[in-house]
Parts: sequence; C-alpha cells; structure tokens
Amino acid sequence: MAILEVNNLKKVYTTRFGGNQVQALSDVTFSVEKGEYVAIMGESGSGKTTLLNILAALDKATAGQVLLNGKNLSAIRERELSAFRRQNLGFVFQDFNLLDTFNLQDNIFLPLVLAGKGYHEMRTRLMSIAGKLGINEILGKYPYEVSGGQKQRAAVARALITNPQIILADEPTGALDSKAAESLLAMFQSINQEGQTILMVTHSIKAASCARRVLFIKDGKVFHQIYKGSSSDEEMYQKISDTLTVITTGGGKHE
Amino acid sequence: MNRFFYGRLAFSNLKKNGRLYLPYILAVIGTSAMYYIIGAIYRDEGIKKMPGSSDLGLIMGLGCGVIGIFAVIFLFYTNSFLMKQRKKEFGLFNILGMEKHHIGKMMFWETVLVAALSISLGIAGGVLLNKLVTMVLLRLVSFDVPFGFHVSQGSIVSTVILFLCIFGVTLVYNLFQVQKAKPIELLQSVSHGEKEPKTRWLLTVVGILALGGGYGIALFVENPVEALLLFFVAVILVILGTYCLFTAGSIAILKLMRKNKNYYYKTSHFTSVSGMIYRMKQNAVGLGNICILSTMVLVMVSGTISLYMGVDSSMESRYPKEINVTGYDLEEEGKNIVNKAVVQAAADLDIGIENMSYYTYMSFTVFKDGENFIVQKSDKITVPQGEMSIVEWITLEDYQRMGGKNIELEEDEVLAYTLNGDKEDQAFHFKDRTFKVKEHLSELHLSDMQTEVMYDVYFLVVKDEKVLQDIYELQASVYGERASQVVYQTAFDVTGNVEEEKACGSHILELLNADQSAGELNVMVRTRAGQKESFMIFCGGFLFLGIFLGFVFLMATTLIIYYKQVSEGYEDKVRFEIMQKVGMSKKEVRASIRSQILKVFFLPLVMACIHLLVAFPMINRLIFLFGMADMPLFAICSAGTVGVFAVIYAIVYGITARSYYKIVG
Repeated sequence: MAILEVNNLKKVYTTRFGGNQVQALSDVTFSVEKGEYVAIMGESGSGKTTLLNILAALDKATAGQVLLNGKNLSAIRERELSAFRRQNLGFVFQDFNLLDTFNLQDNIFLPLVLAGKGYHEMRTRLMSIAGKLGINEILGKYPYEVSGGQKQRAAVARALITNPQIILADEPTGALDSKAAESLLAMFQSINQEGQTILMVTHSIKAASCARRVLFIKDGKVFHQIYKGSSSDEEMYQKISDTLTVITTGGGKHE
Repeated sequence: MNRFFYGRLAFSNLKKNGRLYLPYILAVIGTSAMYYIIGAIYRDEGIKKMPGSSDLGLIMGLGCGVIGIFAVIFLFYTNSFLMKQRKKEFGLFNILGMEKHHIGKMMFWETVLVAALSISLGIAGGVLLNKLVTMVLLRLVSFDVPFGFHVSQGSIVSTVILFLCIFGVTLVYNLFQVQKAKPIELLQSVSHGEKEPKTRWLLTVVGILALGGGYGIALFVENPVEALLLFFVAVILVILGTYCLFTAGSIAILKLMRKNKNYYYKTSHFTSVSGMIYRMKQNAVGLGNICILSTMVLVMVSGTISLYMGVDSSMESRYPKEINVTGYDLEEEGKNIVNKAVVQAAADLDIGIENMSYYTYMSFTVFKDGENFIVQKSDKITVPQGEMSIVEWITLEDYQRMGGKNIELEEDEVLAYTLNGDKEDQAFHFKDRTFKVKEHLSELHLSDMQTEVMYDVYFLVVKDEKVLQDIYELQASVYGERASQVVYQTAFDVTGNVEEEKACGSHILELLNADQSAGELNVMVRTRAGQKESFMIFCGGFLFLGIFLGFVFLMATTLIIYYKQVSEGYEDKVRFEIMQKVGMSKKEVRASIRSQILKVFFLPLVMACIHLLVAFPMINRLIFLFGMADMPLFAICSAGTVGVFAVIYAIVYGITARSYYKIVG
C-alpha cells in the first residue's frame, strides 16, 4: 500500500518582479510504499530540495498533488498544517537544526511538547529510542558540547519520537565526517528494518546505496530508478555510479 | 586619491548600516544638544543676574555633570552594540584582502563622519532649542522671560571637546578590538554557540539581601532626618540589588521553573523559559540599566512635580502669616525696636496689619527617654537612647496673651501641650532641673508655631523669661556654638497684594538697620511671598532638571531597547526558523516571541514601579523636609508620572518591536 503518492508534481518559481520563470519541477510522479527506504538523487539544481519542501508541506506545488496516506496535502488548511506535519512527518536536516538553547533531551522533546504530551509519556518514548540511537549518555548535553554525528543522532531521535508516517531526510550525511556518516546510515537501515518509512534526498552515492530504491531526478523529472533488490551495498554503489555516469554524460545518446 | 577612497568607503558603510547607525547618530545628536543646552543655561549671564540664581546655578552645574558622565557611559555602551553587529563585516573585509590598518583607516573615517555629522547637528539643534528650553525653565521658576537670542560659545566649546573625547576613546577601543581579533573570529563573532549561564546563588542571595535592606530602610526609617542620611545608602543597596537580581536572580528563577517538569514541558512555557534563560544572560545588565534609569526618572520627576505643585500649601504651612520678623537673643529694648519698626513700616506704606502675634520662645532638639530630655551634640557617632523630639519653650505671659488659660505657675512647673508624642508624662527631667507638669493642655492658641509635625513636639509653658534663660544656658552648655537661641517672633498678615507684602518686609528691614540705638540687632524678616519666590527657583530648577534628565534617560532607554531588539532579532531569526521546521506554527512562534519580548521589556518598568512604590513613604518624608506635607498630592503626582512614563515606554516598545518583527520575519 502506498503511503506517499506524488502525481504530476510541477513547481514554477516566478521572480519577484514577474518576468523570469524558473521551472524547478516539471512533472514528477512516484510513490513510496509503507516500510520503504527511498533515496532521491540528482545534481545541484535538479529540484531535489524543492521536491522535499513540497513533500514537507513547507512549500506549495504549482500543479499536481501529493497524497500522504491518501490525504491531499494542499487540501489541509493553513492553521492545521503545523499540527499535521508534527503528527505525520519527521525531519532530519543536513545542518541538524537543533536549538542551542535546549539540551539534547529538550530538543528531542520539542515536537511532543508542541503536541501537548505529558512529561512521563515523553520520557517513556525517549527511553525506547535513545538506547537504539546510542545517545543515552549525552541527553543532558547541549548541542555545542557534542560532535556532529551525535547532533545528527539527536535530530533523528527528534524525528522518530513522534512515530511519524514517514521520515524526510535532507542530505543527512552532508555535514558529517565519513565515520559518523557511515554509522548514521547504518542507523537508518536498522530503523527502516523495524518498519519505519524513510525518504532521503542526497547526492552522496554512499548514502543512496544504503536505500532500497533510488530515484534519479534530472531537469525536474524522475529520470530513472533502481531497486536494490538483493544486491549488497557495494553492488548498489556500483549501479548508482554507473547510472549517474550515464545521466551526466547525456544518456540520451546511448539509448 | 587613497584618502578619498577610504572616506567614500566609510560613507557607503554607514549608509549600508543605516539601520544600526541612524539611531546611534540620533542619540549623539540628542545627547550633545542636551549637553549644550544645559551648559548654556549654566553659563547664561541673564540667569546669573536673577535673584536666587546661585541655587539654580548649582542645580544646572549638577545637571551638566550628570549628563556629561551619562553621555560617556551611554555612548560607549551603544558603540559596543554597533561593534558586535559589524565584526562580521570587518572580518569579511579582512579576508578579502584588506589589512588591519586599512580597516583601521576605514573605521577612522567612519568615526570622523559620524562625529562631524552628529556633533554639528547636535549643537545646531541645541542652539535652536536653547531658547525654548530656557523659556520653559524661566516659566517653571516663575520669572519673566527676557528677550534675545544668543549662542553660548563656552558651551559649544565644552560640548565639542567632550564629544570628541568620547568618539576618540570609542575609536581607540574599536581599533584595539579589531587589532586583537583573528579574521575568523571576526567572521563568527555574532554567532558562536553560547554557553548556558550558570546559576549564581551567592549573587542571588546578595541581591535579595541588598534589595531587602534598601526596601527595609525605605519602609521602616520614619525619621525624616535619618531618612535623608540613609537615603543614599538605600539607593545604593537598591541599585546593587537590582543588578544582582537581574543578572543572577532571574536566571535562578528561570532554572527553578525549568526544574519543575510539569510546568516546563508545556507548549507555552517550554520555548519561552529556555529562551529567556539566554535572553537574560545577554540582557541582564542592559535591563538593569533600564530599570535603574527608569526608577530615577520616576522618582525625580514625581518628587519635583509634587514639590512644585504643592508650593502654595507648603509655603502656607511653613509661614502661616504673611510677614514674619524673627529676632534672635533680643533684650527688651530690641523687642521694642522691632515692634516699632513693624508699626512704622505699615504706616509708611499705608498698609493695614492683621492677625498680629508676638511671643518669645526657644526650641531645641532632645532625645526623650521616658521623662528625661537628653541633649547631645550631633557630631557624636552614638545616638542616645530615646525618641528624637523637639521641645518648644514659651512663657506663661505669652501663652496667656494668646488666649490661654489663667493659671499660676511655680518655677519648677510647666504646662504641656504635645504634638504626636506622649501625653501622660507627669514631669520632665532636663539636666539637673525637674519640671512638674501642672496640666496637659488640650489647646495651645499658638497656631503659628504648630507647623512642625515631623517629630514629636512638646510645647512647654514656663513661668517667665528667667526660667527660659536658665534652660537656654543649660542647653547652650551642651550644644555650644550650635545652641538654639531665645527667639522673639512677630508675625502678621497685611492688607494688600504680594508686591506690598514684599515691600513691607524690606521696609521693616531698612528701618531696623537704620535704628542702631540698641546696637546691631540679629533680626530676620521673611515674607511668605519672598520665600515662595526663592523656593520656586529651587523647586522649578529641580523640576526642570528632573524633566530634562528624564528626557535624556528616556532617550537612552529607547536606544537600548532598540539595539536589544535588533541584535536579538538576528539571533532569534535562526531559532524561530528551526522551530517552524520542527512543527511549530507561525502563530505559536509569534505568540512565543511576543511573550518573551513583553516579559523582557516590561520587566524593568514593572520593577521600577515596585521600587517607586516602596520608596514612596521615604520620598514622602524627604519632600516633607522641603515643607511639602501633602501625601495625596504626591501620590497623584507619582501615579501621573508613572502613567505618562508607561505610555511613552509602551510607544517606544511598539516602534522597536516593529523593527524586530521585520527582522524575524
């Protein structure tokens, strides 16, 4: 069953004084099944971030629709939007977006507090995920006191704690060193194996090779996709890099 | 060519940073204009010729000093805000290849431009406004306004020197800052991860104790003279307490709130409590400044306004009769000369005399312990046991002439009439003398004398002047040079207007000076109108200074609030963007911003009002010393001042909050 359906999505940016129009997404259609782990790849300017912003309901599409669990995002009223995002979506960002005025625990609690949950419930939920993410020891620390990898794990905990339908990750390894990146990706794989749906935008082949399916976006369209199937991470890495070579050298000629 | 380049660069920098520099320049213009004006008044020849101008000169000199010191602190403080905001820019210049001495040159030209612009505009504004302000001052002290428009060169020179010095010092400080920083530090200086502030319990406790002590003095010291002495102790304690509580106390309270899990983890408290902890860390001193400044404005303006408004009633209570002739240590002959002079003067000027009273009395301060009167020189450090009281001695003859009872008195007997104090004493012991109280009077018939109500006052009627003289010698043996003298007092009203009243007063003095038949007489003639004039100059001068400094402080408060809003706006922008991404709605973000900003900026005002409220009884006692005994009037004046101040403060807040919201988006 598809948890997320994207149909003929189109996004056109108009510069402030009319005139120039920039087409970020021309016609994007894909769907994500429950429990899937999908990576979206593309070069800078291919429309990845625009797509993610629309999926996150941070931006509105010019045409087309996004259905989350069959519910059309554009039909949600403005004042319900924040609550909707809080309840259904979890976010992991490249630059962590942790608040430096909160310690890690309070950062993780933030969405629950906004949802009006009691302290004990929050604490129980946190305990069940903090162990898995290996952040038990550092919950009392402040973001400026811990490493990038630890920050990102806290951010993942913040995304998970609301039990979201889907986690949207924007270049989650972008600001991490290779070791921290590797352990984060391993963590993503393990939470995915427990049934968590993940949609990740990245241009790191390494990150994408951990996903079960990779979508390639070029010029505002889904250009190609590969399934991991039973391949290992290394084989997947090879497939992705082959595909990227084809895309960048102008695959049209070889077809 | 090169110099031209730096000048132009400096100019374009200032233009680009208009949002930061415009208020700064306006502040310098304002402060220098104010400084010029008060300096010009201080040096004004016309005002120097006014009667009672020495008081006014003193007050204006004080004002000059206060504004000068204030300008230094205040402009230095604002400058540090500017530097903090601009470091990133300097870092960028540095990285793009400008050496530090190039940056220094650029900063030099910026300072030159700002200084030239703001000082010249400030003096120009000062010159223009000077006339208006002088007119207001002269109106306040009830003097006719002399015509003419003149520029005070002395004041221009001192203004230019002062502000050039301030700019010079800030430039040196800024250059030093840039010199010692690495470019990367300059780039990042706006946004390095700030550590959570520690709870400083010691400072919190000190703050509570200091504030408690100051409040205690204000509330429990009832004696006005002691109040005057302790007033400055109380002020210092309150200032200390305010700073401690703003810096340490606020954080301690917030952290306690955070410890309470059920309270803290609520949507409306969560972000604002944690945000406030950081906000208070950065703003505590600034908020403390605002609080102290506001309190000063409120105290000064409300006190002087009520003194000013109550001038008529306080003059009437101090001088129940229009003309008062007081002779010190007069023999019978001297008294006759005084009486003759009064009658003569009235006849010469063709003025009628009414409600005439004359009597001899002596009054001095004692410490009353039970039935003992203890006297001690006031320069001793230890204060004797007992209640500080005033004893007024009059003779039976005078008492009866005023309409008192027909009673015989022995040498060791007195009639007692008590204001405020004990009414059951059987006798009074003073040195080796004992006076039995023959009767406690219920009425004294001496309304002229009953003006003193701050202390316990004992009016004692003794047999005759010989007893009075004995008592004089007894107290003189202790007080020495400062002994009270036996006073012969004549007081009366005259028919006719204020001018005639004053003329009569000075004519009496002329006649007394002319008659040397009893040698030099120690006599003072006070007319209520004359006293009122000099009191008006004093009060009006203070009121003027109060309002004037009030304006300066308010300007400072405005600017501090503005810069706080702007500098915080840039920091908060990032924070609120993150919150929105994590699922906070725009509305919630706005509510959170509003509640924090409101708390931060109205906290000083609330605190200042509490200070004023607690200080109220003490200030009331102090203005009592100036003869103002109208508590309801003072209460109305204070409430009015607070009201006006709060409205202005709210307007300032509204304007600055707009620029904050613009930044936060």
